[in-house]
Amino acid sequence: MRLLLHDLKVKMVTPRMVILYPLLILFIPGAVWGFSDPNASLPGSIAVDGASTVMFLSSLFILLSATLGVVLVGFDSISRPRLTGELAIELSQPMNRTMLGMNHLFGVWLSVAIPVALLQISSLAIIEHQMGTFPSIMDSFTWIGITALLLLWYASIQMIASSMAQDLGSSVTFGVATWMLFTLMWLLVTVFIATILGVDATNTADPTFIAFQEHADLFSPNGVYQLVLQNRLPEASQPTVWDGWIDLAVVCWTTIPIAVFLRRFRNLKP
Amino acid sequence: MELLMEMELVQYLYPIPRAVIASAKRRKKSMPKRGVIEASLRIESGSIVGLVGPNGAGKSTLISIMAGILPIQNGIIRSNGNTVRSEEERVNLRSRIGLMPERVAWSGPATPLDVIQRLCIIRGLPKENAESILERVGLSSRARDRLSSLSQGMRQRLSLGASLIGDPEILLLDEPMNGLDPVAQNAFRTMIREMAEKGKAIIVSSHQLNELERFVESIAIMNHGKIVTQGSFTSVEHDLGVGQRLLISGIGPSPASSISENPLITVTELDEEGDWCLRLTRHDQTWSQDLRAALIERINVGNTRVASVERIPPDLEEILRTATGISEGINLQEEE
Repeated sequence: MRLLLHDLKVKMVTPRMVILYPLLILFIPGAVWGFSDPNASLPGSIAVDGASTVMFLSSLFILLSATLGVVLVGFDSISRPRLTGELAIELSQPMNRTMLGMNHLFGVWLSVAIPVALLQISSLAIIEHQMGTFPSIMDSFTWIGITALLLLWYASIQMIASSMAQDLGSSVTFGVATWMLFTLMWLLVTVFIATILGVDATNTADPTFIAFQEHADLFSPNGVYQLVLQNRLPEASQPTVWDGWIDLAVVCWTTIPIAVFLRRFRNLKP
Repeated sequence: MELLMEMELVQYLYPIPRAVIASAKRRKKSMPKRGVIEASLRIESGSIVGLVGPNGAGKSTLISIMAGILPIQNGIIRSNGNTVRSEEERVNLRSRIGLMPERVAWSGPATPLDVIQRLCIIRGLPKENAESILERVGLSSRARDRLSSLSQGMRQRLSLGASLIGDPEILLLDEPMNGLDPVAQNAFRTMIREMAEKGKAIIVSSHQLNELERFVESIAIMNHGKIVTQGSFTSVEHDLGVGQRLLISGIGPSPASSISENPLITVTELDEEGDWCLRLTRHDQTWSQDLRAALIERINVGNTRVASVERIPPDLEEILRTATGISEGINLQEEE
């Protein structure tokens, strides 16, 4: 715990975090401010009918900013000390490697998750100011909790990439490519797989395709994140995929990448 | 001297990179041979051991094995008499060891103070100890500077400081002199000697053989992943047969021709002060006390008299060349 606090103290004032803070402020409270404005007219047929909808819509901006923040903070957390030789000193210390690996993971995760959670909490006040009502405790808890988990999933993936990379370039490429796949390309991947499996993907509003897409989203951290938040929306907007699958996906995304990373870290050669 | 750590027939196989395996499969070639480290070594309290060998001999890998970073495939490592097998036992071993790896390129936004404080925390020590560690290695004035602003010598000092945290019983120093200025080198040697006097065991790997000669008491020579020979300078000289040179001078007629009659001795006449000065190299054994006495008796005939006899100790470079078969001049050994 002492080590984690020390690492957080150092990480949270690094230049890249200082650059990230304004972006997070712009993307999280900024998005909430915009979506919760009763006078705002949103594109398409998007109707804001409550605080949960505001939180759901603002999750898109969290996906664009906070997850990229984790990638940028974590891409060199193993590969850089490994290349410089600092990791050899760290691994020669009398600390269990699993604990050391957890410390690295939690250091990256919490350095982004803590400011994001603080901004989310302040966003709750913005919702109250704009809409005259606080979101329910359950909605707020789900929004903040699943965002923290999403960042943990990205941190785990990034740590795996960083522990695999032989140089900083491949580490950042792996991280950014993963982020782009899940954030920007996932719909394309879903359409491609749907076409292969014979599901009509020409009309993305088709209920069969939507059902397929929801199942495909279980294999993407962003998809699972949005399914969980979608479950808090009014019944008509809730996903059709069985809740059990969503819960299972949350458990799998939380445990499997962490287990893979810790296994890699235990066998890591400096 | 107390036995602090013992490595018995320890074996470590270098992993073959996946790309190399894939390439061999694609080209339907046989798998490349895996590099191997095979070593037995005893580390006793108060000893300063020099680990020497050509590039790629496996010195740094052996140091990583001793530091408990790399797992061994075969053999036994004993720490204070207890066999080290599990991760918990490796953690205990690591608590007794301080490692200074070769050329750590400290970088990033942190400061030397952050680095040492972090390592103090990992070792379960109060982070207030960091200031005294930095003072010990002459870095207190740079404690709050960014790592990227440090010179190579400063980075070496920081690595040395990192190895001193927790006052470990065994210090593993890989190329510690790299980048240190002469004053720092001298201070480093003094510190190493003082630590050895306090009962610490120090293993120093270095390419700077002339520097190493100035403070190590015994050596272990590595080549192709194996410890070729180890022990005190005298015993290694004897094992390798490199301690056979004698510098002898005197007055009267030169005895060079009479000594040359012995096929086991090569005589080289040197232009030194006095009537004659010879360098005698034996090819069978070292110049023992008895052999030297017999030689003097044989020379002191007629007007010839021996004025001085001095054994020429081989330097570490010569020992290394003899042990590894590297010849003089530029000879870069291919890595395994």
